[in-house]
Amino acid sequence: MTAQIQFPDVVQLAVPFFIVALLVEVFALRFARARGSYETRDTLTSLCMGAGNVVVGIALGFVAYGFFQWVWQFRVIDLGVHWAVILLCFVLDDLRYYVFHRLAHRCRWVWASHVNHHSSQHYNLSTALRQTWTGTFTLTMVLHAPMILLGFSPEMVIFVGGLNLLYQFWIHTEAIDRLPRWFEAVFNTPSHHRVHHGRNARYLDANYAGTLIIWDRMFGTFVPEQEAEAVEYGLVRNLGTHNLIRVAFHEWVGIFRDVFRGGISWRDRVMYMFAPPGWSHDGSRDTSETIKADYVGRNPEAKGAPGLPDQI
Amino acid sequence: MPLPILGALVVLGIGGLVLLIHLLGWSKRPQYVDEAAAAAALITDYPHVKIQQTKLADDRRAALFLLSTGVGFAAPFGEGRLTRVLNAEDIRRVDEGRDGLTIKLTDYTAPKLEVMIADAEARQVWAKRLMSEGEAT
Repeated sequence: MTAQIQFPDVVQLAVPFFIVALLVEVFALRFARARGSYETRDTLTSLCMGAGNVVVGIALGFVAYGFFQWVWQFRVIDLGVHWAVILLCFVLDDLRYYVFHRLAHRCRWVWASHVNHHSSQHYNLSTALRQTWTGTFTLTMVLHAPMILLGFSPEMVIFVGGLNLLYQFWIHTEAIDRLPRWFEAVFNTPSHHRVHHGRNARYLDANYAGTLIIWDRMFGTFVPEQEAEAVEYGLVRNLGTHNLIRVAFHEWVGIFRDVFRGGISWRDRVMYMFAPPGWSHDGSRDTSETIKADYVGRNPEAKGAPGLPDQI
Repeated sequence: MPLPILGALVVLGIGGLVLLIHLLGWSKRPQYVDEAAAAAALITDYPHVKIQQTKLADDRRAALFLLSTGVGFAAPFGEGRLTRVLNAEDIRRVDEGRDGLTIKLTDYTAPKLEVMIADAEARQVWAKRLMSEGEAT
């Protein structure tokens, strides 16, 4: 039954929509005084990263697809195609996305791929398209395996994953402030996702959700956007280049340099690959935890505030 | 979607959008109002540094700082900023041109920094500081 259903590639189909939406945001910022900003070279970088992601997807998509097909032969059952199955698949895949995304921020091997999505210091719809070229190398496609084993077909899993990415496109904007309270409670929104892109101490490692913000609320990683503290976008240590190769591969280069440095143990080499970003064998670099602790040390009144530790 | 159509959409979409953004005036390179604004940028990212002296570039698009240890750098980068604290191991080379300094770094994420300093004496002082690990001269 599932083999007869053709699920569309929603991300490719959405390309015209992406272009129109960017045009709308650009004109809203320029002529309707909406909040937000663009910068020419930053936008060019983001859009080229997005185009490169599509090219890599076409060239290397067979790796993930082949893996999914291999796993599919071990499925417990075939759940078939029904709107309720697709809906359930979407919700479970959103949980899978949460796990992936949290891993992407907490394990340097996956961060090396994901980091370029966070490398813009602007937050607009073009930032949504600043996507990785190296996702295949992280092997995080294995996170899809449980759903395929449960009986959701590879085609359906790919389809709902595309829908999830599509949903996340429109939340990359400063032009939309807050949405109705019920919507903010359940869904990922521009406000929630602005926090996720923040480099402020309190906003680090928060709001990993794809479509449903409920996962962050359930697993304790939700931080609301604070009126008193505007989000500063980008990386803790920002890039000083728009060179696409450097943007795409800089963290991989960093891993390579660290792993092959002299005078460290094999454990240290492994940690440089898989420990949280910022980990170092001599403690000379900052992780999210040390940044937050340092911030609270300098601002004791902020202790225990959302996103910050209640003790140092 | 057929690949040629997708390719054309992507290429024309990127070209058109970037041209539009340029024509709407978003290619301007920001400048620091004064030394204090440049120092604030550095301190936001490196709250523990002690600035002893600030040199704002002639075009106000970068600044160098003499710190208690090392040399600081700050420059607007789009709406954001690029900041670094530089020590000996970070600096590959310092080239002195007629208009300013070009600092080549070992940092893969910021390989080249430029600071316009037309005054030859000041330029040499800062070049020397950068090459001598940020020690005051």
